[in-house]
Amino acid sequence: MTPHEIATIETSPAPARPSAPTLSLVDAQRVHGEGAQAVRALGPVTLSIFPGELVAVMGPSGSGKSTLLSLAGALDQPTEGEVFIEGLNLALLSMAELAALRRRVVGFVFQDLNLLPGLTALENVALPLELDGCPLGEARARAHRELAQVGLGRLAHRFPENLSGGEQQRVAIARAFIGPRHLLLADEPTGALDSVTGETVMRLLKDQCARGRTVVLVTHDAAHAAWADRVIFLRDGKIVDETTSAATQNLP
Amino acid sequence: MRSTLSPGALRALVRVEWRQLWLHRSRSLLVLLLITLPVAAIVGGSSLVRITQPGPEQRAAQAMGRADLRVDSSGRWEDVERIRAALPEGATVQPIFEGLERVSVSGRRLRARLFALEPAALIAPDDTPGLAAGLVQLTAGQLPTNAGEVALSPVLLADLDRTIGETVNLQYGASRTITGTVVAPEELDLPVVVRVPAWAEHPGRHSLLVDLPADLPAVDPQSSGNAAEELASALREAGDTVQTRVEASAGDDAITGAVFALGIIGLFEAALVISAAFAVGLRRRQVEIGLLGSAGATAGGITAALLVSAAIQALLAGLAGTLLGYLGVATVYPYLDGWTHRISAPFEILPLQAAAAIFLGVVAAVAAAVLPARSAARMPIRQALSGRRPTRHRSHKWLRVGLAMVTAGLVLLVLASHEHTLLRALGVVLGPIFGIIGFGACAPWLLEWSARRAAPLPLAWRLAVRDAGRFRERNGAVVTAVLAGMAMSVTFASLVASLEDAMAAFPTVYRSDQLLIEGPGAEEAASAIAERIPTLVTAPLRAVYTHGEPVRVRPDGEEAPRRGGWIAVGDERLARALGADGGQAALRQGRLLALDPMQDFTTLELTSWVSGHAVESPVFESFTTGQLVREPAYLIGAGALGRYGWETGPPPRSSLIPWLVRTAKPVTPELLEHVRRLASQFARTSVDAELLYGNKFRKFFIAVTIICALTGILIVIAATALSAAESAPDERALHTLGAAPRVLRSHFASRAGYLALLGCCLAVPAGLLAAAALAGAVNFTLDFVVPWRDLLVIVVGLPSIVYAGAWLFARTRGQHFVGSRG
Amino acid sequence: MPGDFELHSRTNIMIIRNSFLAFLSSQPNHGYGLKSSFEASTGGAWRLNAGQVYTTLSRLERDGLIEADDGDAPERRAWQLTHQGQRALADWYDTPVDNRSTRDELVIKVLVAIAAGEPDIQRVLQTQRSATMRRLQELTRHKIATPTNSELPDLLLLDAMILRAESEIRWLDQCEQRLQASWQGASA
Repeated sequence: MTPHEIATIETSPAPARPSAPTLSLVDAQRVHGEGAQAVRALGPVTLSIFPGELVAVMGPSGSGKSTLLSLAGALDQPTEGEVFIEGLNLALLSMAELAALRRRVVGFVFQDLNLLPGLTALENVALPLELDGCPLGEARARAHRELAQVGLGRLAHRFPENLSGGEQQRVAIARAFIGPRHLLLADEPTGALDSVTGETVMRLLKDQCARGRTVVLVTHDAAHAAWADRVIFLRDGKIVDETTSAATQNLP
Repeated sequence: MRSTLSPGALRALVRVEWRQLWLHRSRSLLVLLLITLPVAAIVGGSSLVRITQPGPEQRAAQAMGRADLRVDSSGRWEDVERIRAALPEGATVQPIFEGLERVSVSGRRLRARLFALEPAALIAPDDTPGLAAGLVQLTAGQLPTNAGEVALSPVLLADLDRTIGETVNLQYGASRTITGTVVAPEELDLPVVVRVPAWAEHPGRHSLLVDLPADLPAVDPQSSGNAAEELASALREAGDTVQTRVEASAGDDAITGAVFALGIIGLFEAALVISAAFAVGLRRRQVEIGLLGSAGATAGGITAALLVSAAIQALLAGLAGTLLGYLGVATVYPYLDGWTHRISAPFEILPLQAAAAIFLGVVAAVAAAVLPARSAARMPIRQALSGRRPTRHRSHKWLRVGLAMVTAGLVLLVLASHEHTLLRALGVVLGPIFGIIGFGACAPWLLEWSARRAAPLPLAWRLAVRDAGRFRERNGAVVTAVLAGMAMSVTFASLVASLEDAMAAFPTVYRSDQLLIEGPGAEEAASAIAERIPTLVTAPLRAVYTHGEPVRVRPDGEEAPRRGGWIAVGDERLARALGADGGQAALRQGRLLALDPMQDFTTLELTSWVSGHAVESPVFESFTTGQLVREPAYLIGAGALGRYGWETGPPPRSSLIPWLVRTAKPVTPELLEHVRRLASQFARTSVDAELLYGNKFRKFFIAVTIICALTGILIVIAATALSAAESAPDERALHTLGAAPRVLRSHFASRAGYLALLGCCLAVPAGLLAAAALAGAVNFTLDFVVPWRDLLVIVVGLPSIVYAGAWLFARTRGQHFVGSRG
Repeated sequence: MPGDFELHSRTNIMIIRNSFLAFLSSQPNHGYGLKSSFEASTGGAWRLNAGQVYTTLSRLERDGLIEADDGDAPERRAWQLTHQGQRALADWYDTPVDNRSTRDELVIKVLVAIAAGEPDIQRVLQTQRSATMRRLQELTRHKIATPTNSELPDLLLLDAMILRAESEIRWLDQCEQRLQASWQGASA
């Protein structure tokens, strides 16, 4: 098999793209400070991400990757422009509604400091449901199913300090998709992992997308970004290019 | 591994530590404060004690004026003669009488210290001070020279609204003219009455102030050589009560000791929290210490540098504390005379005192740093560099140590009731300390044990309990600090309860809802009072008389205390006024009611008061009113008078019939003041109530209990501030998971509440243990009482306050983006 | 090392041709100057002989991409770009290096673009990066689809290609960072 042959291999078709985006940013900007001291962290950026998509955001340090992610997760507000999740304009939501959104729609996975060290793997996964008022027993039962899906059913009662880095990230991913949550914003989730473990995490994210869940992945690792359906390149807070993998590209 | 530590290496390491202090300013400030405050308390407290408490010379003057000996009378005339005969040639003797006096004007009657003495006792005819000078002191006007005159202290004059030249009434005799003002120099606010001796204070009851000639040689050269001592021991052998000047001046420095002891307990609590603060800091610097190790620093060097840094910090804090303490004293110094009612000693800075306090502070800080520093410095370098926490062992070791210490404490407490003074002191001092440290040592195990069972708890408490378990050594120290503070509260609360219980066995003067109106206008005043304030009943208080004397009752029991006394006579109204509401039927049947008898008896012996004529005893029965008062102890219906041929008259010790008023509610100071104003409209009529006889010790104990509780709260606040830094990542994680502000608040509050709850719960057994020891060690029998209500307040109330406070002050807007690097 | 390059391959002829266009876009130059610029831009790693230079120039002139004043001796003539030549250069910049060619063209292209003072070098880098990413995505998709129990040579070949693409992107990232650092150094 030659490189040429590999490049022309047929790939499975990407899921059809429904019209309503899960997440969209419209001319979103984030400027820190004012006047002469103003620093533009991001924008203006316009971007739509659709259900079932795995989208990678690449860029060097300071390009605004993480700012983009915190705007998308309502951890920060744009100074200009708008952010929509499930068609809801985040600027119009109260603090409590934003918190509810984070409990029910958006999950985060970071490079580290993901899990509460005082809670077991199971309790960590059940946490968003518990915070949402779900009865403890039911929350734990659902968390158990979610953990089993990421292949960690056996380790449900371990505390984070007794889990490996990769296991911790898988627990965090299970937590990000517990209950009705279906949008994962991941900030360098493989950053602290070796390449093989990183690959299992990427495979897990890819599986979740195949189930119709949506993942936005911020990374500077090209090998991991390549798992995405779309790769968005950020430079100085702006999108400079966007690549779509071959199959999607072939869509009309 | 043991290696020499060069000064250069130590200097380099200390420089690193010094920079750390600046980097973590808030934590350093916390440590500084924790040392500063107890040191300031020790310095300020002991200074205040020295300034406000009388010195040896003042103490001696307070007891015996300028005399060399004070011989207190047995009451027998022949003893006085014998003592006079035993005195050497040239000795001067001044008889005085010290007792209790009641001073009254219309509407008011006050109790006062009585000094009955001739004017020469204070001011000799040649205008030199008399032998009694120093006991009291004339400040204005003249001393009384005859039975129609009196000198009062300014406090009394103000309270009675009288000035020199006006008149007041004393217990015996007619009204007297005020000739001057007198004070007791060490107690300016003491109500003092000075008058010439009356017949009641006949020479047999005098105390004798004896002044010996200055050059009196010792009779027996073998003895101590002091003539006063010799004379005193000779008189003592004859059975007299003698006090020498040396004995009277011997101060008890118990208060200074107590200040230092309280300060040391404060430093102990501070040291525990400081230890936790150091542990937090060192845990966060684990990698850095690993790097120091990889750069060639020895474990000993690192430990030494950490200890030196702690010592420097404590030294600075100690200096600040000393400064603060003296500054505080200097600030209040001008007001001290007014507060303490005595002439204060001059304000001085005592270097030794300051040095001792600073030394204690440094010892506390270094001791607090030893364990965390050693464990941080001895961690294997590779593990330190990995940043992982060391694998923790189960806390059984701590549990075993704790239980052993508690057991040792219990054994020591058994010693506390031992006969031997030394063993008793050992038990009283060491027992509670072992108890507190022992229960504290159990804390890490308890934290771990609870953490393993936290699964069913609500989220915030689950996190709090689990995190406290994860950092159990450090949180164990905090719990111990809370425990130490709260145990003192529990101890004091139990002592107050035990003392109150003991006091309840003693009769009070009046019921708490009674007013006694005395004087010619008593009846009118009583009805005026009944019209103006909510009153249950008013009734005249008459006594049963026979042969022109009051009837005296004696129960047959041989054992003291005997509750004898006179018999009150009246109708249902008097029964109600005395609280014997249910006794009317018995009264109508002509029975004698024995009110609140203190012991069982089968017969009553009735006699006339002075001449002792036997009187026929009526049928009697006991009646419990619920409030034990001194008198009257017996009550009979007016209908029975005719049957026994009795008359009525004023109670013994009264010349007029007083009236009793029973108010609807217990008498408050405001109510009493109101009633006094009403009574003052009637000439020579005064009001008395139990309120005027209350004791002050309770307020003191309650104040101490509250201070201890506040210390506990302060410690919890400091501990919570420490753990807040550590819980920040958790709070951010919760925030990104969409936790509502309520959840974040309860997360923060639960951490504080949990430590407070655990400390308070452990404080209960530890504090009760100490209280039991103290109750067993006191000289009089004190039944130990568990103050359930106070314990409930401590176990439920204090953690709730801490929880609520933490809830209010929790920050919920910490919107930091975790891992933000982009 | 010059030996590493197949000097007579068609690709290399195209690289030299396009590089000359790039140098001439900044200023007119004669043959020897172009030779020096080219060798300097590749850090002396790729030396040209006079024959290669003049063959290339005459082909460029034949295709109407460059022109020069007549009259002088061939080695004295100062060449400059025609409109057609400018278009050809832009096409080269805009066309990512074909993944089937040797990657050295990419290196030379970037070096030449920098040496020629190409103002929009970032766009050149991004174009290349996007293309490589697209290829990396394809390879990854293929890898996802390939069962882990496939023939070992297939798997190893796939790994090699993925790693090569990844390293190319990393190299582009590094180029960009160094350029940025040098600009910042210059402006400071």
